[in-house]
Amino acid sequence: MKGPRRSGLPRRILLKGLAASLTLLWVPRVSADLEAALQARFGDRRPDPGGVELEVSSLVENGNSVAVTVRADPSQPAPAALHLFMPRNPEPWGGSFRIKPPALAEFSTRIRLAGTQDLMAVAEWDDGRLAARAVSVMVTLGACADEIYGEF
Amino acid sequence: MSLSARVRIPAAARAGEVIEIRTLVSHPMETGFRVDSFGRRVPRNILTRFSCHYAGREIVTMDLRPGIAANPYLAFRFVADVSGPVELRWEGDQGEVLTEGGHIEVTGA
Amino acid sequence: MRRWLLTALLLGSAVSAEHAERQSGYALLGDELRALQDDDFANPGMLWVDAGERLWSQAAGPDGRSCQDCHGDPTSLRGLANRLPRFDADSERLKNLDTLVRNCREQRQQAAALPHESEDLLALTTLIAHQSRGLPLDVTVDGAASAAFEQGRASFERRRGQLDLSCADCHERLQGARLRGETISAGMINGFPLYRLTWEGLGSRQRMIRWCNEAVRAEPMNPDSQGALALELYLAWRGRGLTLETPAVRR
Repeated sequence: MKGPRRSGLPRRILLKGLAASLTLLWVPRVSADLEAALQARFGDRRPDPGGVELEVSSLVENGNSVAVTVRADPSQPAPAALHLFMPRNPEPWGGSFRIKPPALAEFSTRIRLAGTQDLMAVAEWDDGRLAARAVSVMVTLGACADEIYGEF
Repeated sequence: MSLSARVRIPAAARAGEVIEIRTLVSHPMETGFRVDSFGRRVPRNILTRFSCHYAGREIVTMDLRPGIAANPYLAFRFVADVSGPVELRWEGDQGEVLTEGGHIEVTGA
Repeated sequence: MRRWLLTALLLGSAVSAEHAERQSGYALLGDELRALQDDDFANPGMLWVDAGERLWSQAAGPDGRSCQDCHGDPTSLRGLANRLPRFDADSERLKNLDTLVRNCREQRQQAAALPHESEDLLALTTLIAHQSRGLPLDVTVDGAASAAFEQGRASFERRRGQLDLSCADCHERLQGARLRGETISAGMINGFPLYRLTWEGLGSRQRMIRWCNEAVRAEPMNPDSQGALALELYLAWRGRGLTLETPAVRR
């Protein structure tokens, strides 16, 4: 019996692939889908980096339920809303949490991630200012083929 | 499963104390993006909105989208400043409404 | 072909264990999912425990009897689920938790049947199994049960499906090996009914057996058949001593 071949790909193709994937790392993080979702929520406003904290595991075991906590930077005035975006989900807008005193600008929930992606939290202030934080989350695949049909 | 919630609302707090509300609702949060075994799209069926009133004030609302996990969990915190009722409310695509509540007694105000 | 597939899937993994360790699937969870299972508020399986409590005292059938009327508090059934399935000498049949609840419902309450994997059946079985959380799996496999037990053992070892794999191929001989992003479990059933993120809901032991059969592209077993129950008996015996975790959380 033959052992498994490590790869059927010629070395040159592998190297090209490696170079291509390195290039991808430098592509700006705002994908077309995320861009459309930001446009729908915020018009032409775009967030500055920082101003909001996003707690999520960097490696998750199943994309169907991922714990996240979004918290405004406590050193800044409290924002009016916290938004979640999952750029590679079929619908990138994940949800929006609006706060009025005495509520704190912070919430925890569980989300779906359709594969590895950069999850983004956006804080929005009453004056229209936006701030965002993105965190890369890798979603691993389970051992066996996932169930396709929900019935059984 | 029928729509129901588990909620944790503290019954008492000191004035100025930060308290946490935790909620878990039984709901499929069907995304509307899946197809069944006959290739038919399964219609979207999600909870779309959550709100929390505390002592008569709306302090938190949330728009929920299909990216929120099935059996949605939500926890948040606020400063207990006056005694009063806490009213939690969820609304969904099918017109369903679920309410849960409690009362926080604030001492030392 | 089968071996080629396996080897290809298990690229470079160290496969040593000839005999499975009795290890709960909990041991393979990451920190986040362990925390979810351990959190009695946020563990989504607790929604079914709640629903079971509501059903427990709800009258059903022509005489308007509830579970509560005969059994009292659900805690009276502590020590039941960890000893199932069991061989019933009168009917000469194996019975698991689903069988017992369904029989009670149809024969004693004379109420509408609870279909397999229906929310109401899962709510009641989860409530009942939850009462035995922390108790060790302890099934009887000798005496009258011995023939069924041997049938279950043979079923566990029998290759099946288009992938031509037996339960033992993966969950005994390859336990601990890596398969895609996951470690192959020991195939223990001490957490059921459990909340599986893949299902976004709860499932029974028999649902998992059915899922596994489908994964190796074998014909699913009828969850009421003695063959399926014999396999469940063998699986429970393999996990003897592991404590019940219902409702467990798995990926």
